[in-house]
Amino acid sequence: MASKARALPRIHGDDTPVTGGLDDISRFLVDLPEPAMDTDDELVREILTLFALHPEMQSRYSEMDLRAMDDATRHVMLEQIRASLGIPPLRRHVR
Amino acid sequence: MHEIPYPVSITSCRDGSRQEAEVIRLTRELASSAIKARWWADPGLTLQEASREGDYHWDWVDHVGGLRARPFARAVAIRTTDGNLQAAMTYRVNGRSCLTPGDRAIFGDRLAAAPWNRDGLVSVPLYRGAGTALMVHAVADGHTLGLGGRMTLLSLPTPATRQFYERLGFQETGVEAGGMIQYELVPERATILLRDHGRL
Repeated sequence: MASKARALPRIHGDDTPVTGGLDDISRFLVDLPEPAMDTDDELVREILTLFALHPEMQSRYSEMDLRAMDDATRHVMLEQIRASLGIPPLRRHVR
Repeated sequence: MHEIPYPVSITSCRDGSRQEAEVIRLTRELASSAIKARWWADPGLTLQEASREGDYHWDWVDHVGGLRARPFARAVAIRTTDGNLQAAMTYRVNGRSCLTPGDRAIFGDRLAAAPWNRDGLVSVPLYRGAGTALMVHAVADGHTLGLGGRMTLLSLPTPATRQFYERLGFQETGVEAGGMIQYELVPERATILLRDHGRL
């Protein structure tokens, strides 16, 4: 019996167009006060970014010292901020 | 979004199988070792072919290095298990909406897939889906930051570009003096995109 091997349909490559690259994008941005704390910690940076975008949250947590917190406490604080802002949680990515 | 790195899957163009990859932060060092040193090093790619690509002249090392001092800038990439970067992106979380004055948005600064994934540039691309995974990441970041996933960006006025962004739910909002098209993803469409990709 002759082989009936079928060629796989061709799958095209990534169709992502080269996007952006403007030298000056300032008019597409909003000036925000820069966070007072310089950090490489992703969790702290997330909280500071939320404070910059939502200053009312910064006021609410002004007594809290992010530097003195452990990660578990920061996670709780982050979840509280998101809940206060009405941000539905994302699902974790599943392969 | 602080949950980085995290796993994603992209599609192999050879057999359609899903391949493991991860969303990572793009550092200056990675841009040097994995983009500058590798993306345009394919000996089968002529200078003429490469220079036709809109990003051939981009200096990712300089660009990503310059973002270090910008607290609202983000640089991310898709890395496969062989260490190669399949796409790279930078964006800002302090963008403004073009459609709804006063609303904030993610601004897509730069996005490109690795040259070996591009149709028309190589005979058999390796992967597809890396750029889309980065777009979904940026929209998800905008969601978790309370921007509703709203996102704006500028891209070239080509049919492929229009098709790509319309498929993701973006709409055209204007034309720049240089011919670049403004696109925006509104929160309602961002929610659909995140649902379609299992994030909501």
